[in-house]
Amino acid sequence: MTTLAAQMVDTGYLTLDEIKAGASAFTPQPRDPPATAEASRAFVADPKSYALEVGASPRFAPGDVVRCRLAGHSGHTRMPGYVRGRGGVIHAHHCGHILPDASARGEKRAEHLYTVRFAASDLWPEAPGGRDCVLVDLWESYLEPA
Amino acid sequence: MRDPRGVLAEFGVALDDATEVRVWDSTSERRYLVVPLRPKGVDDWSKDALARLVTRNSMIGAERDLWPSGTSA
Repeated sequence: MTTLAAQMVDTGYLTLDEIKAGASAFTPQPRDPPATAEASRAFVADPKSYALEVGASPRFAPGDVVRCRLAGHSGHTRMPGYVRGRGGVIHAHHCGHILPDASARGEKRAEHLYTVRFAASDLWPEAPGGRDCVLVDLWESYLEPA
Repeated sequence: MRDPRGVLAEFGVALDDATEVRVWDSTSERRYLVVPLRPKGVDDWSKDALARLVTRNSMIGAERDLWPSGTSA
């Protein structure tokens, strides 16, 4: 939250005074509604997909054993803290998806996205043994081979 | 996340140790839904009749056994 607020101040979306006051200094403007019925239908029908072509081929394939990176960065990320440094197995590959870490900085860039399967007992000390698991979608730069 | 079996128990779903619990976190823009387990004895039901058995909780994995009204496990 603090990171997002700092980025919004840095890029001129907000001022510190607005954050302190908890209110915008400007009159809110409604978003432009679609001008025609045709444009409205197109807006509703748009799947708004975050899938995007990646130039490089995927580094991992289903079944690969991976580990989440420990070293992070100061900006926004979608890697949950509870998987940092933990080992898992690639469950599925979803091709390229927009990387939130980059898009939070205004940069539209895709990376291969994977679902990674973790044994619950590798994440939570109190988890019962056995086959219970947690599946998390993670982008390629979050992962390294294990 | 940490205690899915405990949460499911609060919804009245008791699972034995042989049942694997899969927790899906929603970290990307991909969304997941649960396809409810088809109850026994409704093989000849129409799609509309089956749809009437489905509940909100069964679509999030918090209700496992859907029974036609008037019957029970």
